[in-house]
Amino acid sequence: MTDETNFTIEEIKPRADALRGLDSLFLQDNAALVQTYRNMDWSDISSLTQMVDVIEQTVVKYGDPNDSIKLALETILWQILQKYPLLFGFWKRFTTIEYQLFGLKKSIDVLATSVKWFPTSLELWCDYLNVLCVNNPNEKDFIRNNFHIAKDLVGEQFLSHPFWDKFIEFEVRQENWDNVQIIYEYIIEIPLHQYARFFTSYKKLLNERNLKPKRDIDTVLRRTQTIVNEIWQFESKIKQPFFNLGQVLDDDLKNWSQYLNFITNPSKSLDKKFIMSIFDRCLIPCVYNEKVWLLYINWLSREDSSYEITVGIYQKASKLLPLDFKTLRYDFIKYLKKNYRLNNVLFSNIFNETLSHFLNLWPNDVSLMTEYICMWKRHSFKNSLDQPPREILEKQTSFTKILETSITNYLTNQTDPRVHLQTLMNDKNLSIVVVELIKTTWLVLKNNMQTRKYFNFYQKNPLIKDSVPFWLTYYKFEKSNVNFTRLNKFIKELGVEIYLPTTIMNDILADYKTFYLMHSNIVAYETSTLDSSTFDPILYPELKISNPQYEPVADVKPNAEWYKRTEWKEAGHVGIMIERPQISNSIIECNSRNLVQRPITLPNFRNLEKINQVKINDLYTEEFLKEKK
Amino acid sequence: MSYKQFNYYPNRGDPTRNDSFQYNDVTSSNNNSINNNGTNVLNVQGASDINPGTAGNQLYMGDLDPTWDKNTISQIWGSLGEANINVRMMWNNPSNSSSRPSMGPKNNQGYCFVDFPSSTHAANALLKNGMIIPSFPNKKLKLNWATSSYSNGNNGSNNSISNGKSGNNYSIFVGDLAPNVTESQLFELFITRYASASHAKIVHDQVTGMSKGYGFVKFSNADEQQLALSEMQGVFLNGRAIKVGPTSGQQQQNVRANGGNEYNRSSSSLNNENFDPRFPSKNQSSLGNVTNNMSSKRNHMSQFIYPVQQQPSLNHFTDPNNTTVFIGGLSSLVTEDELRAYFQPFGTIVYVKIPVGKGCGFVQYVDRLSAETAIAGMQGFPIANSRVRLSWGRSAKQTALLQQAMLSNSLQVQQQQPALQQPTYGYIPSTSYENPAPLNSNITASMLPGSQTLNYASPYTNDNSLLHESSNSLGLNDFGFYNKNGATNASTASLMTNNDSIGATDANGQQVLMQGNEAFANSTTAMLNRLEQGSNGFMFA
Repeated sequence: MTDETNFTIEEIKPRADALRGLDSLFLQDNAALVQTYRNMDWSDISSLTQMVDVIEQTVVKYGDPNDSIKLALETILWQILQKYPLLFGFWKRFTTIEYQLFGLKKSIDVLATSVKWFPTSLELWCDYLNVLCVNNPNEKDFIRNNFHIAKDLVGEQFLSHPFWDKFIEFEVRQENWDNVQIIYEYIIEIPLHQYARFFTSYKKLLNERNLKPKRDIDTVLRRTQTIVNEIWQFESKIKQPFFNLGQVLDDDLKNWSQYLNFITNPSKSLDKKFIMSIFDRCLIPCVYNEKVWLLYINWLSREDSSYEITVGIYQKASKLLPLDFKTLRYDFIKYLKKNYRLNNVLFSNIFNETLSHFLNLWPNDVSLMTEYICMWKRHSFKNSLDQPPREILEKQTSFTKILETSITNYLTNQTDPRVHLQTLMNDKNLSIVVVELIKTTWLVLKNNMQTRKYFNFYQKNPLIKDSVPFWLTYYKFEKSNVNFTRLNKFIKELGVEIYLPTTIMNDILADYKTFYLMHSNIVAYETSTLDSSTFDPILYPELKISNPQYEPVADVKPNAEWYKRTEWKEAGHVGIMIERPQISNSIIECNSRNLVQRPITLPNFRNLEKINQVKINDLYTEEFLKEKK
Repeated sequence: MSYKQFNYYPNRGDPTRNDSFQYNDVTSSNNNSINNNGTNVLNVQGASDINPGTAGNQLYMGDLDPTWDKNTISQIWGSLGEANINVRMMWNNPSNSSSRPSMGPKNNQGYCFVDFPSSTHAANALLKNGMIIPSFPNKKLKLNWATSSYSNGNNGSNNSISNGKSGNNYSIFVGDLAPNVTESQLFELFITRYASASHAKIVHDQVTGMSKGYGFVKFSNADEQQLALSEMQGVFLNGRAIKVGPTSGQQQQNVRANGGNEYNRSSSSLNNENFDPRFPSKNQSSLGNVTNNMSSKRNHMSQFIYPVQQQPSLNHFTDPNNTTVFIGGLSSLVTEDELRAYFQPFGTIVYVKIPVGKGCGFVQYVDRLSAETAIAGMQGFPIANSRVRLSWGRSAKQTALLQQAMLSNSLQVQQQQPALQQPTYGYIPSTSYENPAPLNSNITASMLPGSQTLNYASPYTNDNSLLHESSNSLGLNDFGFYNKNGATNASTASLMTNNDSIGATDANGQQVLMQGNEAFANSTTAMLNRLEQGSNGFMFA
C-alpha cells in the first residue's frame, strides 16, 4: 500500500509509561499533562480528548521542545491511536501536532500511516491526497498510485464526492483527458449522493472536449438514480457514521441491519464492490459488533468470494473484536479447516498462526489444542491409500514419537521453541496431548501393552490426575478390553482417588451399569460379589450417582460414636452443626436382674447445655467479605 | 443452685418485708392490687398486722447517681435535717448473664426507698421534691410516696376497690431470663401451657433499655398460677432455665397460710433464704396444701420438660430460603464452566460465579434442596487438586449490598443484614422447620432435579409421591432420598434406551420410548455425547 513512505512512528515501541525518563523539572512544570496521562480512562472518549488537548497546549507552550519531550508526546498519541485507530479526528490532530513539532515531512508520514491503519476513512484519504497534491505536485505517479488505492477503498462510499472532485481535478490539471473520462465512466455507475452533479459535468466535458461516451450514459443515469433513491431511505437515517467509544445507538444499529439486509438481497444484484464498501462503512461505527462481522463473512461465502478476501476479513475481525467474542474466532478456525485443501501450505500457516494467537488469548481453552493436533497431523503426517503400509506405519510412529518427546520435554521443563507444538502446550492442555499419544498408540499402532504403560505412567502426574479426557479414554480402553477387574477398581476409585466433575462421574456410573449388565454374566457377577462383600458392580454405581464421595459402610456393626457424625449433627439443617441433647443412659438395663433390685434410673442427659451452641463455619464472611483483595 | 438472684429481692434482710415494690414501681400501679389480691384470696386476715409501724412513712427517691450508696443518701438527708432515716438501696443485678461474676463498681438502679421515723416526717420530706440537692448541685430531689407504703397504709380501705377494679389476677415472678427474651416469648411460653396467662412483663433497665433478666407473668386463674409455680421451674427459654417464684407479697402470704412458725422464721433475717423462690421445693411443699388437688387433676409434665431451643437470629445460615452455596478454597485454575460441571447434578443452577482473585466461588440453585445436597455431597471434594470447603453464602445482590455497606461504614457485618428480617417472635424449633417445608415441597415438586425423568411407569413412582407428601412432617432429609431416587430412575431408564438403540427391543425398551419425553431424551443424548466426545478434549462450553 503505502510502503514507499519509510515511516518512523510505527517504530515507536509501545512503552508502558510514555513519561518515563523525562526531566523532572519539565514534569513539575506540566503537572496537568502528567495528571491527565496518569488518570486517563481508556473507555472514556472525553478523557482521551482531554489528553490530546493537553498535549496540544504543551506543544503551543514550548514551541520547539527537546527530543525526549517530543518523543513522549508522540508516544502518548501513538498509544491512543494504536488502541483506537478508527478515531480519525485524533489522526488529524496528531498530524497537526507532528507538523508543529517536526515539520511537514513527518506530518505527511502520519497521514500515510493513518490511511494504513484506517484504510476506509474517506476524510483521512482526502486529507492525505490533498497534502500530497499541494506539497509534492511533481510526484505524479506516486500521487496517481495513491489515488487508485483510495479509489478502491473509499471510492464507492455514498459521500465520496470530495474524493472524486479531487481526483478529477488532479487529472484535469495534468490535462490527461483520457484518464478523466475513465474516471467519469467509473463514477457514473456508483450510487453517490451527488451522482447528478457528476453526470452534468461529465456531459459538459463530453461536449467541451468533443468526446464520445462509450455507452448510453442516460441508461446508466437512470439505473444509478434508482439505486440512489432506494438506498437514500437508509443513508438518510445514519446518525453516527464515525467510530466512537461506547454503544452504537439502537436506531442506528437497526437501520444498518435493515440496510445490509437490503443490499445483500440477491434479487437486487448490486455491485459487489459497492456492497463491500457499505459493509466497510458499517464496520466503522460497529467495529465491536460481532454480528456485523459474521454477516459480512456470511455474505462473502454466499458470493463465493476468493479466500484471500474472506481470510482477510476474518483476520481483521479477530484483530479488532474485543477478546470475549469467541464465535467469529472459532468460525475462523472452522473455515480454515474446511478450506485447507485450497492451499495446503498457506492455510496450514495461517492456521498455526491463528491458533498460537488464540491460545495466547484463552490459555484455558483445551479444544484449541485438539484442533491444532488434528490439523498438524493432517498436514505433516498425511497418508494416502497408495502409500505402502510400511511408510504409513513409519509416519504414524514418528508422530507418536514427537508427541511423546513433546510431553516429556514439557514435563521436564525443557520445551524446544523450534517445535511449534511445544510452544503451544500449557498445564491445561497437556492432558490433550497425552490423550492423543495414548489414542494413537492404542488405536493406530494397536499396541495395548504400551497403551497401558502410558496410562499407568501418566495417571500419577498431578496435571493429568484429574483430567476428564484422560480418564474417559481410560474408561473406554478398559471397556474395549472388557476388563471388569480394572473397571470395577476404576469405578470404586471415582470420587475417592480420581476426582472428576460430578456430571462426568454420573455419566460414567450410569454407563457402567449398562455396560456391566450387557457384557457380564451372572456367574461373573456372583463371583465378584463373593470376592469383595462391599462392592456390587450393579448396585454400587447407582448409589454413587450424585453422591461423589459415597463410601459404602464397611463396618456393618453400629458405630458407637454415631452421634458424632456430621450427618447426624447437621441433619435437617446442612451447614449448621448442633450437638443434640440425648439421653445417655440406656434403659436396656431394665431387662437385667438389677431391675428387680432397684428402679430404673432417671434419664441422664448429654449435651443439654450445648443445645444452643450452634456451630457454623461461616466461610462466606471469613474468606470472602472480610478478605481484602 | 446459685444465689445469683439475690438482687431480685431487695427486701432481703429487711425485717419489714412489706412491699412488692419492684413490681409495683416498674409496672403500673394496678399491679399493686394484684399482689394485694393474692394476699386477700388466701388470707385476708393479718395483712394489716404485718407492717403496723411502717404505714405511710416510706418515700421513693429517684434520679440517683448510679454510684451513690446508702451513706451518700443518708448524708443528703442528714444535710436536709432528716438524720434519723433508714435507706434501702436498689442495686443492679451485677450483670444479666448469671454465669459471669460481677465485675467493676456496683451500681444502683437509680432509686431507693427511704424510711422516715413517722409519716409526718415523710410528708415533710416529700415537700422537698424538686429541690436541688445541696452537696450535688446538678441533681434534684425526686420524691414520692412509696406505693407499697401508701397502699399498705390504706390496705384495709382499698381492698374492696382493687378487687372490683382488676378482677382476679395472680402473678408469679420469673427470673434468670436470658437477656434476649422478649415479653412475647415469655408470654408464649406460658400461654401454651396455661390458658389463663394474661400478661407478661419483663423488667428493663431504664437507662440502658436492657432486660434485667426477670419479669412477671399474670394469670387470671389462681390454680394455674400455682401450677405454673410448680411446673415451670427450670423450663428452658432461649437456652436458659428460668426460675419461677411467687411475687414477694405472696411469699409472705404463703408463709402466713402455713402458720405462724414460718412467719416467725421469715421475719428473722437469718432465715430469709427459705422464702427465696430459688428454693422451689420448700415453697412447693408449703404450697402443696393448696395446689396438690389441682395439680393431681392435670397430668402435668413437670418431670420431663423439653428444653426450649433458642431460635438463632436469621442470617444466611439460618434462612431456610437461602439457595446460594459458597465455595471456599477454590483453585484459581477452575473456570465457571468447570465448576458448573461439578455442581450441576445436584439441581438446577441459577448461576455460577467466580469472583476474580478471591479463591472462592458461588453457586446459586433454584431450590433449597439442591443447595443442601450439594453442600453435603461436595464438602471437601478436591477440584483441581484443591479441596473445596462449602458453606452458605449470600446471593450476588445481597453481597453487593453488604460490600457497599462495609465500604461506607465498617459496621459489623452481622448487624448489616439487608433484605433479611428479624422475626418478631421466637418459635419452638420443630415448628420453625415444619413451616417452610410445605413451601419447599411445592417448589421442589415442579423443579426437583431429575424430575423430568420421573415420567415413566415405575412401581416406585407412587411411593415416591407418597413419601413426598408425607415428608412435610419428616423434614427435608427425606427429599434427599427422593432426589436420589430420581437420579437412579434416570439411570435405569438410560439403560433401557441403550438397550433399545443397540437393537434389543424388548417390551421395556418400547415402553420407555413411548413415554420418554423430550427433556429426558435430550439429557440422555447429552450424557452419551459427553462420554463419546469427552475423550477428545472435553469442553465445558
